[in-house]
Amino acid sequence: MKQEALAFFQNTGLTAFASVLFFIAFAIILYGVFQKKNRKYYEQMSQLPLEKEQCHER
Amino acid sequence: MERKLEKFFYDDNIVKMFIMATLFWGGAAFLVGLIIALQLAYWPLNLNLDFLTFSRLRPLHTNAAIFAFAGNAIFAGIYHSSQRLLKTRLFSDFLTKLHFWGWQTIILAALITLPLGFTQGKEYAELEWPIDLMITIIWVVFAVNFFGTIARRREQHLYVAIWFYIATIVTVAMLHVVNSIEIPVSFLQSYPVYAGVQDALVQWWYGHNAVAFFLTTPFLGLMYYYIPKAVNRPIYSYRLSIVHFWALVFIYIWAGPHHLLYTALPEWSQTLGMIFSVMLWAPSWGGMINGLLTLRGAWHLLRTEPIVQFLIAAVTFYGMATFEGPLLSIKSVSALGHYTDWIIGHVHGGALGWNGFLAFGMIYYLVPRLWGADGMYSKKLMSYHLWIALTGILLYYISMVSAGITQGLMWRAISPTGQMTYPDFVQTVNAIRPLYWVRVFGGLLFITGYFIGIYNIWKTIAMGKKVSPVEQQAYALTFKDDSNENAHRKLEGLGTVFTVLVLVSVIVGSVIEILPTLSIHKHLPQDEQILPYTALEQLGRDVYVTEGCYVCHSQMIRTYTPDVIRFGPSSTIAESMYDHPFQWGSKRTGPDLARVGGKYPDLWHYRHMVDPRSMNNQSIMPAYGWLETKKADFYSLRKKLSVLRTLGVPYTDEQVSQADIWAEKQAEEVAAQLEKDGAPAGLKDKKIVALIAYLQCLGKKAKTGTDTSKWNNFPFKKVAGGEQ
Repeated sequence: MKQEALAFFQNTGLTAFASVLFFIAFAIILYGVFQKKNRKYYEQMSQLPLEKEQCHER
Repeated sequence: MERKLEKFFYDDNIVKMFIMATLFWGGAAFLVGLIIALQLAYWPLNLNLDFLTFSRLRPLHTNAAIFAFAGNAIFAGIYHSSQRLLKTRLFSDFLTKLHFWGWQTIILAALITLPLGFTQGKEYAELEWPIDLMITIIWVVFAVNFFGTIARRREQHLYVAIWFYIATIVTVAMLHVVNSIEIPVSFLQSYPVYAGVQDALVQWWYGHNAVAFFLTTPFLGLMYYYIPKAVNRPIYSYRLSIVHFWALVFIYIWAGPHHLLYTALPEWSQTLGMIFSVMLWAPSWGGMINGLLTLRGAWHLLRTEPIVQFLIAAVTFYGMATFEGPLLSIKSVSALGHYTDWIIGHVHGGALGWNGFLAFGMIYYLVPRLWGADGMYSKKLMSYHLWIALTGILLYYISMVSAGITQGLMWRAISPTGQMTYPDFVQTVNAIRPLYWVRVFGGLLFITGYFIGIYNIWKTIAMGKKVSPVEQQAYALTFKDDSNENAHRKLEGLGTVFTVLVLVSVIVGSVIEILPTLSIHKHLPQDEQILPYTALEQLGRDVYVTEGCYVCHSQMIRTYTPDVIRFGPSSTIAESMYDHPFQWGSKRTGPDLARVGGKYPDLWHYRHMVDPRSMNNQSIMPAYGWLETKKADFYSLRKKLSVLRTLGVPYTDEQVSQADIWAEKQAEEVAAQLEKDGAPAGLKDKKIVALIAYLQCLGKKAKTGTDTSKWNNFPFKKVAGGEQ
């Protein structure tokens, strides 16, 4: 199994496949995140911490 | 459906309690750190007491800094910010309290057991099995409370800080459970199921990701909440924070093997660890820039607001530490820096600069608000805290990096005639001893800053008016609006699906990296395999673990020429195949011990343990005098060997059932020889004899070896004229 496992990782086709897979996942996230139509939504999201809570009068 | 306006209160009491715990345990962690820094500079400071010795206190220091100081700070920040981001009170007041008191009990248990020598000998996972169980239970309590809070939220969307908290909770749970699988031998001792190279890989997968998911992701969550709060501006780029999050979660989990470069770990695994570490440069710096640029248009706050100074200094240290980390993960840099004080400098830049300053910035933000004061008592004192602590960190960092590089270069220095320029290890220690004093001074400054902070916080609390909780209002969620959102935005609202995705991404990395190594010992060729430890050697090994020898001595000669020239042929996978736990170590304050067996006579070890200066007058090792007076527990050996046999160490039935006799007989022989050579009589049942037997077998357990001890063949076959 050790030899098999090592052979597994010397399989350049597979490692290339994995890196392409990683890159695609990365690209999808980037694409999803940077779509123009989402701009307003992200602006709202980024305001979440700044919403005022009820406080005592100072 | 009409949305209902609901009224509720935040639980701020728990935040106050966790802040108090942070400050209290932080002080303890810093003080223990100062003590052990002093001990490295001046060895007599262990006062000849076992529980005050560096090798017992160092694990206490690291555990206190990570789990007590940083841990309590995280809980304070998570509980404060999550209630506000989710617009709801915490899920259960009972679980909240259980979480708090359970965690403090764990810390107290660590404070007692670690100095007493109850340890598993795995860095940052030293705590013994009953405490491991407590940690698991309390972590589940935390998780239930946190996810329950998410389920009851009145804000549909989960802000990015919440994502970071979720990643923290699920990943730390996985890391802790997998790394802590162990079989108890007694109430406070256990052996990990993994051995040698497996244990090393699992341990550093855990160790590195403890840094990633206990000291990085939760603090990033805090950064994404408290920096916008402190400067009253949204984060520079929310989109960048999403990319930051996914990149870290995908990449971090793979980086562990960079702690094992040039070791016996299979090369593909080392390379994988290195490459993923280098990849971390991009998302880490993306996150740092995102934090810093949040100040756009408000840079003047950096001049006037100490809270902002603390937070920005923290983010800057995050950037520096995450620049240096990948750098040190490059094989050729690691060759120089590994085992040296450079690593110590690196982690303190991260722990004091990033975690420390972020925690203090957050605490300074929260204290006046929670205790009803109009701002902190003194801005000036906050500034003093910042600048004194910052000077301290810089002195600490610069001294340790200089010490590390100096020593690393001395280890590899070769004279024109092809010999080691500094053949005696202690020469390379002497060269850096002055820097140990600089480090002490740096630590002292950091603690001075801490005490200024404590005074300031105390005055602020005294100034505060009693505040009762204020009623909050928010609309209940229907979970039905916005049904035409796109996929990713829906995902951001779905806590469960999101959590599963995070878990999948960390599990995939872990399985691919760890699984092939788990069966590696089965495939070692017969002639490469080694003999298991004799009962006495195993007992000595337990003494070695208890005393924490691994804190200063490695047992891993790297496949790196200067290591091989100095310590002998590089260590093999087989040589630690029966080591539960592995003791490869991560720091060489003293020399490597993987091939110390047979290098010196038994008497040398005896004298060296009782008074290291008698054998090497420049040694900085503390004296371990109690080893010659404390008794070794031979009767525990039957149980120990039987547990080890369950874990795959090939002891015979007779060896297990007569383990104590096996050990006693060998001990008698060692003690008799010691006495003949001039050591006092009556050592045969003392710990020192077991430890000497263990040290003398290191590197000598090869099956084909010519100088293996006859004690490996116990029980001896009866031959005519007595024992063989």
